[in-house]
Amino acid sequence: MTIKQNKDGSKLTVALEGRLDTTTAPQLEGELHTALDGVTELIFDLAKLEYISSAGLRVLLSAHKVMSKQGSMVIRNADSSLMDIFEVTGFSDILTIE
Amino acid sequence: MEEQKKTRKSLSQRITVQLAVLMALMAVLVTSISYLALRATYLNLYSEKAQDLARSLAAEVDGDKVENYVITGETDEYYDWLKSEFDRVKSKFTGIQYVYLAYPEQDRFIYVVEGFAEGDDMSQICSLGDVYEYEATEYEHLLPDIEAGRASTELILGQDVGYGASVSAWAPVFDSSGRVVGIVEADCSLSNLNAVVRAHALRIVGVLLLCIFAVLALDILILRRNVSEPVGQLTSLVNSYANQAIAEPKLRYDDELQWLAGSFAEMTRRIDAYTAEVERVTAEKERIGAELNVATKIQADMLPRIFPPFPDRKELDLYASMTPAKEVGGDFYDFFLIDDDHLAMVIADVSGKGVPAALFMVIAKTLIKNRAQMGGTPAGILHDVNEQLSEGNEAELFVTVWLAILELSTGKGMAANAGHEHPAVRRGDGTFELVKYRHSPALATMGGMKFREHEFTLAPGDCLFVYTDGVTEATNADKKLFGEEKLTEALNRDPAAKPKELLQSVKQAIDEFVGDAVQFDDITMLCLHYAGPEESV
Repeated sequence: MTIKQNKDGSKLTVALEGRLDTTTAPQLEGELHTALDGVTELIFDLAKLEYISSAGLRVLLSAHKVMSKQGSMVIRNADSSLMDIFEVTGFSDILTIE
Repeated sequence: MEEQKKTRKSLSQRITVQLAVLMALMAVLVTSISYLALRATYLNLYSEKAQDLARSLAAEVDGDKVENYVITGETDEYYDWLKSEFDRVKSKFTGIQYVYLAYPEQDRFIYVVEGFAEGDDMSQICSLGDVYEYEATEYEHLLPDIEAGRASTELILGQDVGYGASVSAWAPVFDSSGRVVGIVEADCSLSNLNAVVRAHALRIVGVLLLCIFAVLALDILILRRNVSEPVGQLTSLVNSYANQAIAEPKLRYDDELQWLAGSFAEMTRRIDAYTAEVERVTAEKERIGAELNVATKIQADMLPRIFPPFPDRKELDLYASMTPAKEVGGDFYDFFLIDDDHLAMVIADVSGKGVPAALFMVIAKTLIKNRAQMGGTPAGILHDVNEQLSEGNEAELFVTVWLAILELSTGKGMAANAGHEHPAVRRGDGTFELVKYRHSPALATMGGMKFREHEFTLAPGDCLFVYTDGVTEATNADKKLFGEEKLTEALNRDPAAKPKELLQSVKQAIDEFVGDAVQFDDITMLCLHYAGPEESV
């Protein structure tokens, strides 16, 4: 999986590419652990993300919890298969998906 | 012990043999050099001796009288004295072969006087007037010296001249006018030179051999003391280590061997420490393993495992199983009667695996069952449980839950799905199909959530199958997932199968698919066959 970070002041865009599953989720978690300091607007660009597993959802949930205290978090460009996952798992109720 | 001795012997033997060879080589070299040097020295000595004799005798000769003796052939008192001088010299110096005074003429010498000593062959000794005609070339190199009045020496080695190896010296005799009127020749035989030098060389060899033997003997002693014994001590040190009787030996000298002994002792100390650590860790692992075994049993005991669970209830046939990937798992299923007419069924999957997931599973299972028995709809139950699970959930674990409450008398039910897999349902004689609808988020993701619920109806003969993602995401060696398609395929293999057989069939299909790959996630399944209200049976 490829993670691309683009920081513009307090606005951070994280573009994910590939599969976010048990093996790659710790990588994203590690990067976000430090990257979220001082960020008030977090955007996940999932245009090139193919798959997300429950481990990946957990990382998004953690980020969501952090951001709910210091700003906002949105998820963008999730394709229909990802949307299915968000819907079925109920994460579409929690996360802001645009 | 036997082997040890052998090693010791061979080590000092090897060093001694090598040393002996080196010393022998050195002895040969020393002897050769000494031999050559001695020979050169002796030759030099003989030459000088012959020269000295020739010069001193030449100095004694009265040059004015020599020519007269040759011409007249008559002798006088002075001649007799001269003869006695030559005789005296000849007798005194044993190495002298010939010593004589000759008068040089063109192409020949005329003998004037020759020294005679006891034991000489008279016929070989020349008298006054004897003539020696020499070859034109024989003394050619000497003539310039004679003409110039210089003394000269010639070394004749070998037998070619007929006198044996010798060194000859010539010294000129001058008359009062400074003319050369004679030459004194002293010939020193070199026949015993080789014998003398050889005797010297032999003495050197003898002394050297003695030295070599002494050194070798000393060397063996020193080797034994300084190498063999310390090495033996080191060996027994290492041997004794097996018996745990380790102490750094104090060797005779503080050298490399003592350092080696120190290193041995240090190494053994570290090995001991490491072994102790390994033992401790192993004991700890065993303890954890034993505890995990108990935990596995406790967890297994927490899940209802007696089938059929309600033998007197003919409305339903229910079977469930949980196969953890590790000793303890995060999956669980549950079913219980809330009252006479209501059956609650739960299947859940805690995110993560192992002990943390198992602990969370215990809490979730207990909370759900307790809360469900207090009454209420699935959405209400999940809401309350979610509030409690979200409280202080620092580990950020969450649990997907499917909860259904079925009214056994009517087949009507309410279900809530908190992020869990799609249930599969078989209607009557049809096939299993996944029932897809929008789910609520998993429990413990965050507090204050509302959960969706929906009604459903089971007709007599319908079959309900729920499972965790360990089923659909079972992975084979090629990293391919088992998937929903293969699941429904396995479920539909035998339309008449009872819940227990269905679960076995699915498990078998998974095992066949996965092959030798390691089970990565817990595999949990629950199947309900609704036979219809009791009175209809």
